[in-house]
Amino acid sequence: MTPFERESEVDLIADALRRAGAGAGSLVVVRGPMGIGRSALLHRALALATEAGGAVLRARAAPAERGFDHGVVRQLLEPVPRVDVEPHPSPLFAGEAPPTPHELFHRFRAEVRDLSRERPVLVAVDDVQWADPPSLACLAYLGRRLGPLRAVLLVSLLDGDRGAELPAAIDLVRAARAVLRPKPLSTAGARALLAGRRGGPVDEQHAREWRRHTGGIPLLLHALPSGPDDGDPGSWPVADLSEVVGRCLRLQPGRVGATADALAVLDSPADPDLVRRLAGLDEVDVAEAVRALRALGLLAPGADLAFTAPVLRRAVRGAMAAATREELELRAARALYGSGEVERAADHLVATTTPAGEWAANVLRAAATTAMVGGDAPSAVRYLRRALLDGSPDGPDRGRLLADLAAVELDHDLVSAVRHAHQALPLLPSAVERASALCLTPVVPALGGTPRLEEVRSVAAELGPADRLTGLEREMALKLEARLRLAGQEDPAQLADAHERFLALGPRPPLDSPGERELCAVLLHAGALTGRVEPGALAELGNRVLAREPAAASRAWATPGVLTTTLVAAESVGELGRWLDAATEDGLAHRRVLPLVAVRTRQALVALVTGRLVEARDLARRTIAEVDPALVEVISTCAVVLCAAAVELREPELARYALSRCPTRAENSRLASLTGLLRGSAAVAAGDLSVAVEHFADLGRHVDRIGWRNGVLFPWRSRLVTLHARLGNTELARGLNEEDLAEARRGGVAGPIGRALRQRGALVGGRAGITALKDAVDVLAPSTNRVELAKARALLGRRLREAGDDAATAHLREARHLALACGMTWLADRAGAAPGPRPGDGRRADLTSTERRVVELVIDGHRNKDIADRLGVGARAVEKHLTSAYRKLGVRGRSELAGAVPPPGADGWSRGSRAG
Amino acid sequence: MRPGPGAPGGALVQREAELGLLDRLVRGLAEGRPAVGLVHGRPGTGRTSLLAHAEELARERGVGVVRATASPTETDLRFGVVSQLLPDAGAEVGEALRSPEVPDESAVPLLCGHFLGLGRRGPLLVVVDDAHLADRHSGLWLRALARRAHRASLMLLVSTTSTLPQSGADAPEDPWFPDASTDPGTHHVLRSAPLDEDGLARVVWRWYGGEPPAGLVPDLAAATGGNPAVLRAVLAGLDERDGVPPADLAAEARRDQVGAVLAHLSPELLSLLRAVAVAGRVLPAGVLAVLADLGRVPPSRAARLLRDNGLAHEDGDRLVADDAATQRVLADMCPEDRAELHARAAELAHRSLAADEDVAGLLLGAAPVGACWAVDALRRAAGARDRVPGDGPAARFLRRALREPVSEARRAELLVELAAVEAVDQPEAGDLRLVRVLLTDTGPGTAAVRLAAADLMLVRSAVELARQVLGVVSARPDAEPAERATMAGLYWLADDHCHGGRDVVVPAVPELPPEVRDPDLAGISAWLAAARGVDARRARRLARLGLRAGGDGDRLLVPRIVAARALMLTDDLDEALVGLDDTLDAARRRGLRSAVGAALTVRAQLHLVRGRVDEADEDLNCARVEYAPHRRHPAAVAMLAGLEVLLWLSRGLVDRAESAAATAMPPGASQSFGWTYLRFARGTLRFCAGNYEEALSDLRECGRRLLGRNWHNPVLLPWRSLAALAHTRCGRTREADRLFAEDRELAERWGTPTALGLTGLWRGCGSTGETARAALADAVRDLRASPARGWYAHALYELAAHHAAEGDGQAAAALLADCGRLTAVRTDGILRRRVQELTGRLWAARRPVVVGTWPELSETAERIVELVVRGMSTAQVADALSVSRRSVELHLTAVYRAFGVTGRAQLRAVLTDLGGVPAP
Repeated sequence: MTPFERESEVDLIADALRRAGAGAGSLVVVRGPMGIGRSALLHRALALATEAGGAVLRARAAPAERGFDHGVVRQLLEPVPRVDVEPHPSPLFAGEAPPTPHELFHRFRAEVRDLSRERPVLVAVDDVQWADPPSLACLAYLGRRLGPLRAVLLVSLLDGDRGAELPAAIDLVRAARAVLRPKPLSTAGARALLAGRRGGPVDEQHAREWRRHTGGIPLLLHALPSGPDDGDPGSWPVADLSEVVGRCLRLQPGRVGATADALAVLDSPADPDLVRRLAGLDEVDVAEAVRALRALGLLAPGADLAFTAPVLRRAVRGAMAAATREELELRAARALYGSGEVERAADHLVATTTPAGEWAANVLRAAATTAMVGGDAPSAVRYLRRALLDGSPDGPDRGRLLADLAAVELDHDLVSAVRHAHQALPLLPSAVERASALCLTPVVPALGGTPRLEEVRSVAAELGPADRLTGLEREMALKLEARLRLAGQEDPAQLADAHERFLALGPRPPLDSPGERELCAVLLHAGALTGRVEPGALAELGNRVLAREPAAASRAWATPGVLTTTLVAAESVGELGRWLDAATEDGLAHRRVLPLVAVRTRQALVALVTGRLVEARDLARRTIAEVDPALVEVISTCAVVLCAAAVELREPELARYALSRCPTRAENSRLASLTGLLRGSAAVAAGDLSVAVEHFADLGRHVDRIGWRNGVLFPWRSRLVTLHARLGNTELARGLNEEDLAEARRGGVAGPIGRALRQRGALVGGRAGITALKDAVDVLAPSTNRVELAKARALLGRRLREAGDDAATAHLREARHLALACGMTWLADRAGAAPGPRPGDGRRADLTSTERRVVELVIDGHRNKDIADRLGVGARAVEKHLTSAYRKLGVRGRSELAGAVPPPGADGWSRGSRAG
Repeated sequence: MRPGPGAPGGALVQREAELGLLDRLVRGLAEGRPAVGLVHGRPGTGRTSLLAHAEELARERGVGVVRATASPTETDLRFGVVSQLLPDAGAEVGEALRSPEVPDESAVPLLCGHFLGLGRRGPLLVVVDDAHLADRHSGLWLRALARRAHRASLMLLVSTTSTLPQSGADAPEDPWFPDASTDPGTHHVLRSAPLDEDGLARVVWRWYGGEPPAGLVPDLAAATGGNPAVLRAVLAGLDERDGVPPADLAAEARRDQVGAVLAHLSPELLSLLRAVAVAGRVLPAGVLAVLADLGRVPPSRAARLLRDNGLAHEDGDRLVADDAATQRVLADMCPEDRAELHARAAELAHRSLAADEDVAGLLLGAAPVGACWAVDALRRAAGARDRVPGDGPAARFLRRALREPVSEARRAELLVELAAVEAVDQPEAGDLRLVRVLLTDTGPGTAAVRLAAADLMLVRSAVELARQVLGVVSARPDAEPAERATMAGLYWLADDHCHGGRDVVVPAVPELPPEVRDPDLAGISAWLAAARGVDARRARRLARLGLRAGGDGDRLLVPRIVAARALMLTDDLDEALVGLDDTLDAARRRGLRSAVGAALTVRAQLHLVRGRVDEADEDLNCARVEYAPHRRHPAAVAMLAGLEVLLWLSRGLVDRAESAAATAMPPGASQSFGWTYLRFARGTLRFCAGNYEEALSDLRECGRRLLGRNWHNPVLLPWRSLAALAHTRCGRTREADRLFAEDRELAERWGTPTALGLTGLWRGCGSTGETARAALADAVRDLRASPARGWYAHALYELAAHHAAEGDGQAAAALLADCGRLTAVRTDGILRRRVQELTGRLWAARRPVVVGTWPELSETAERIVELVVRGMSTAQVADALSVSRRSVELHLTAVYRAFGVTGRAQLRAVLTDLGGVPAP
């Protein structure tokens, strides 16, 4: 059967056979790259000749027989295929003395001539490039003298083989009447071939893929497993192919094999200069080798140095000795390092296992830096881990590598990062270096408990107190001090000491260096926990520190992370929110996985305290579900957010979920307090009030003992008030409420005061109650705590309505809007006396920034003219903006605007509240 | 298969004369007239096709034909050619052919007689292709037959090329037509030559049976050089082998041709060809003969033989090898011999005073020669080529020089030179080399090289890397104290420019001393002081010290650039400009393109401050050229983008600014001052577009990054005031006031007129009524003393606008006139437009009371006004309008009167007021 897509070639051969039958002999050469199907054509020709009743002489040259003179000619003539005569040795080599070449040539031709007198003869020699030189000369001699014979000489020649370049081979081709060059199979051909192998149909897509991976070369199409349609062609086993390719390459001059190896190690297409350096060859040799490889069909034609088919690259790789490959990978790394491509160099190094010395460590470090810049932390880790193989086992260089590794791992594997930073410590030579290695890890105890505090302490002791140091040493001392003080936040004595330190810094603490800012943030944190620093100062100083911190996600566990609690405690989170948004952008741009988690955790907290309950819940739930349980700080914070949101949103199952994700054992007080809060809230959400009372009371006793007194952070008293009230212990509730109010007033933060007042209003009733509620609303109105405001207004509205006061409606409507904005539908329902929902309620109105600005100014009571002046636009423009805003908000006019716009803080509206 | 050129039956192209002759000869033969034809030409020029054509003609006329092709493999085969002609000869002839015992003296006459006998029986055409390859015996026979052909109706048609004696190229050649007595009637020489483009096009058209693919003909002409055999191979290859470009096919075909020729080259010629291939373009032919071992062969003859066989050609006194021959002859050598030949050629070239680049080029192919001259030649050659960026010759020469055995110190110098060359388009490679220089102990007295390396690294903005390495270096105990101090200074400078970077492990680097004498350290200290914005006088003093030794060629560049930046902040723009110009000169002299780019970027900023937008623009564009676009450091990308945004804004082209701001930033850009700068520029852009909240988010981040680095200087990037203004526009006056107050405090601390003036200007813009007026008046006063003319113009305009709003047209007009003069020169687009607009409004308001309304003027007078305002002298105007000076003067007098002014200056001022001064 004619091989696929070889019809024209077969026709040509058939034609030559016909002409020979008519007395015009000719030489036909089939040449082409490896695996293109030359032998198949020869077989087909032999079949054709036999079918036509011709005689055939056939031989196949082999590299092993190259040194065997006249081997091919002997193959052709012994035994002489005459049917009527017994096989006998060819007369060619009979006789005593070896014949002269001329005599031999003549006799060989005469033999063919004699044979062809009876019937046409096909002389077929496969792989003639490997024929021994005398045989080749014989064939060439015959080839040039075929004219009057009834014979066809058909030879196949492997392009690019060194044998094909011998003058005799070239001569043979020159004497040919026709030179056939079979082409690679088309997709259709490949598909047909595959279908034949499988015995079933093959879909077009698969065939195309198959064709692409094999370049349509029949050998490859046959050598690879036919595989299922969805198999990954990149993983086809190529062992057999490696065998074939390797054998072919070994037969070529050294430069060809060396070049092929180099190409197989490098990415495709390869840089010629790099190939030269890998193969250890000069330009001329590589050019020659490339030419040969192209002719052999291993490399694709064109300007690029690329393999014809992807599998060939794997086949060549497979044919290499392991040691060679290792050596080449190292050479590639060196060469790429030399041309500055550190990442590619590092990729090659990573593929090896032999320690390669200091330069390799340098390459890998540089590559890790580059990878980090590109946001590819996993690669950076791979590089640095490999680099550890190249460095000394216990020198300072290893210490630095470990520290580098830790720095890189911070982005996605905190546990390892902390471990490696600590492993680096004993190897680093100077105290400053040890300190800076320690300071790589988060300031915030993100993994719960402060790991190995004694190490921090000892390095800090080595450096001495910051005040006596300068420069970097002072900087490091400050950072270590910050860590130590943060670790001492549960010890009342240390908290008191921290306050002393804070006061000693003066009214304007220095904030010029990261260390100074870190310490200040920690001291403020202590001040916020204990309530020793008043909220105004907390907010002012906290924001000043924050204004000096570039919004990088990686800082979320450093100074800005520490500041979060402080600013939440002081109810001043506007700047923090913006910082976190900017940090998110940065984290996404650089793919910093863990820092983003830290940022999101804080965003959830900020969303919670500004009354964006749904957003807080979603952020926290998403984070807690994704995160590694080792990140205790994230888990517990998110759990707190979830529990608080669960209570306010009345979604008890949320609290249970949060609790289930939380660590059961509390390692320190902060965690203990958090778990207390959590359990209490969960119990509330579940309606198990007396259990909740137990939890909150425990919590209260605990934090009181340490001296943590912030009402925003530790609202245990107010929770108890609510619980006791609901349990009917009114007196107890009232007493606690008094205490709570006093404490809140002492703390001076609006949220807790308003909350205590609201609870008092709920407890006392009557005029005094209404007064308390009005006070609560007044206190809460400018605060960011929208949840409390909504509750206070709702309660005030109901009380006023009961008292028959007309102001009730306004309060209830406002309460309803607030509650909806916060996501507290239950509260909105309770304030249901207000008019029905309007379009635009409870969702973010899609206003442009200018429209928003105009609406704000209108709500604040400005006239269009004023607004136009302020915005530097025409009055007409203001009208246009307003009209558009009316339409978007679904209101009919100015008067309805105030009600239609979500309250400030709820979704990024920035105006100061006018309500209340 | 399509018929190829010269394939049997196809008419040959551009062989009309030869075909005509062959036709005549064959026709003559058919009628019994003998002939001898010799087709002579270089390999591949279509000799075989001519022969085939003749055979065809002969067969058509019933003439008997025998043919043979002499082949390289049969050159030792006795009577090989004849046996092709008579494959089945038996008896006596067969015996003569095959038996070595029969001596030539009897075999040749016998064979001749046999052929003549055949010819007598009927006309016979004997064709022998490639007769020059024939074995010696056949050669004898051929020549003998040629001499006897006229005795029968025999035509002998032979193709040859110049003979290449197998051995002993001095052996005499045996000519085909030995003497003048040769019968001109029977003996003919046909010459075959390459196709010209027209002929080639005809072949290709015929091959395609119509129009070939576009562009193919010129491609083929270039690839094949008109060689018909190569062309045929290429055309066939295009058909049969997918995806192989014509050039490759041609090279392959040509290679085979050359290979066939080379196989028969004598050792002497081969040696010469090798020498030619290696150094033909460098060494004169005479010297090449020295390089090659020619033995007794005269060089001129050897050269001629190479030429005749298409292996080389002469070009003046040079012998240039054909590309394919070069490749093939070199490929056939073993690598060691090749390298050795290159080395010998390089040395010869060096001795014969060849150009450095040529010597260097030869050295590229040689193994290390271990001689001083080699390194020197490579360095000089690299120096000469350093304006060619990238992986061009310069980098290759230097890399080659590094392979020579040199001292560590010398190696360090070479590495720095190479890094400087690579800085343009392989900067990462360059950086790694610099790291190596910095971390290697190159011994005493080599501090300068290491410092140059550090300088180079910083100038490229690779501050993160510099910080890492310099930290280690400045802590090295073996370095001299002065070097360590400067390294530490550079470390702190790098540290200062790492904006928003990650935390890394820091080594113990000594601090900068408060007082320094060393100019490099002074420059760095000046910048650190200026950026912090505390003590302007100290910063100025240090910066001057840093720039003082400006003429010194070996000084570091980065300290000078930052000193100039410090002077920009201390309002000493002129000095800063001089310093930058000096630095630029030094950088250009040393060929440090990245330093040129850095200095130009700073100068562009300086021009922007001075309000000279065009100059800034020019510097920015030059900087772009110096930094290769695809290899810029991320920091530089951000910086350039920021600068561009501000430039377009100055020109009032917001769209262009928007697109500049949207430039995609490479990874790593965010960890640089460039990014901070870009955020500021973007904030400004958004502010100008009225997106105050977005502007604030940019300005805030800009502020965080500056403050995080203690860059408190209020002039550096006035983000705070702009943010305050944005807050004002959003109605958040408290926030704005806080920022304004901070700004004021910092400005007073810094104390330069620009700082004070700027804070007044912003404050004035952000307030109303008397506060605004007072602030703006202060700003105008302060900025008048400042070199920041751009800001001064702004202040003038704002104050004028304030006056205009308050109804004081007179004061407004006076200020506007000043402002108009400034903006007219400085091409500040937005401001000029505003000034014109306000002038127009003022004009409309005061028209009734102003004396100098735009008067009715004659056409000539109007033209004269126009030209005068453009700055032409009376004489020039007269010239331009082809009138007399007197006439111009008369007109002008009338014009002055009409406008109520007394001279040109006033006229210009009034016209500016009227918005009638055209843009320059």
